[in-house]
Amino acid sequence: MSKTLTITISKDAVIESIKGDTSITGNIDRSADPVKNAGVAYNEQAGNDAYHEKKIDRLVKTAISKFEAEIAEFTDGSINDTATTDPDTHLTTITITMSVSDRYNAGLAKPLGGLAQSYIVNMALFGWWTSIKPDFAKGFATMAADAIVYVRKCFAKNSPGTSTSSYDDVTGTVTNN
Amino acid sequence: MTITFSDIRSAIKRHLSIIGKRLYSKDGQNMFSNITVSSNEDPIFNQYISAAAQNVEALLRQLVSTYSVVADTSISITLTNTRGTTDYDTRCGELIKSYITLLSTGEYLAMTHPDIAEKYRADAASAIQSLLSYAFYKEPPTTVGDPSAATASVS
Repeated sequence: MSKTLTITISKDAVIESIKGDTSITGNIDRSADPVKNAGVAYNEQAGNDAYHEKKIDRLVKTAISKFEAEIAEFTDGSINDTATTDPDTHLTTITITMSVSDRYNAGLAKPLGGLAQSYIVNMALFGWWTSIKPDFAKGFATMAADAIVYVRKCFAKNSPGTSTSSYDDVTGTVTNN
Repeated sequence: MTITFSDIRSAIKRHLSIIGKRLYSKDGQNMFSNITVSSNEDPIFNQYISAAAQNVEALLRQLVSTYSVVADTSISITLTNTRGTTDYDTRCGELIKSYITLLSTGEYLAMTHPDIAEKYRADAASAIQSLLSYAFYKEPPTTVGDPSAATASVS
């Protein structure tokens, strides 16, 4: 028996977090010299030019794929997601569904959603800054790696169910093959 | 925004009129007729205005989506900042007109009154800096998603 684990993330919130974070950094750089750095900040701040949006979509999609690869060992079946980079398909939520063991501890499901979102945002930000400020980008990779440590802890198993037969019942013949 | 040459020329002429009325030569002659220009000298201003507008286009190239010229009459520039302020078009238009007026006045005065021209050139440099800073300003992203909505469930 397997269970289905469904992780639901607001795509809008993920994209807003990426834009918001880059907006803060851009404004810090801008404040150092509002004239000389005006164009620098404009280009650092993600969105809303069409080619920025495409890059963000691609980074989010890649981050989701990486996330799935990170948790792949915990599935006993398949992993699917609804993420798309098709600009005509605007999704407000992304769901990742995976088949897990029926001993999966559901008590840890809810924090898993928040951690998945944190990983995806930080991994996308790592991708955004890698081509602009490689050293600065590393901080986001560290945060994404930190989220994965806790994601893995969310895949705890419950204790096995109690057997209906007593240990003493087992006699010479093995019947539960 | 559209920059109409006649508007800029009239602004330049007002500057020159103020200077002329208050300026006297060493022998006590009022400089009004010396500094102000007649309408048949307009083409020289058209040249200054076009050059100044091209400076704006070059500096803001990334944001310029259209740039069209009606010779000696007007120049239309469309700036696109996808997260610009709500009054972006008006504010940038004012700064551009101010820059073009100041630079053109300075260019004209530089031929005969370089000392006065310096003030206009400095003002034009300041105006273009304000324009650069304002045109590239990107507003924070709008709030659309709820980060706390992320969750997971098992069925």
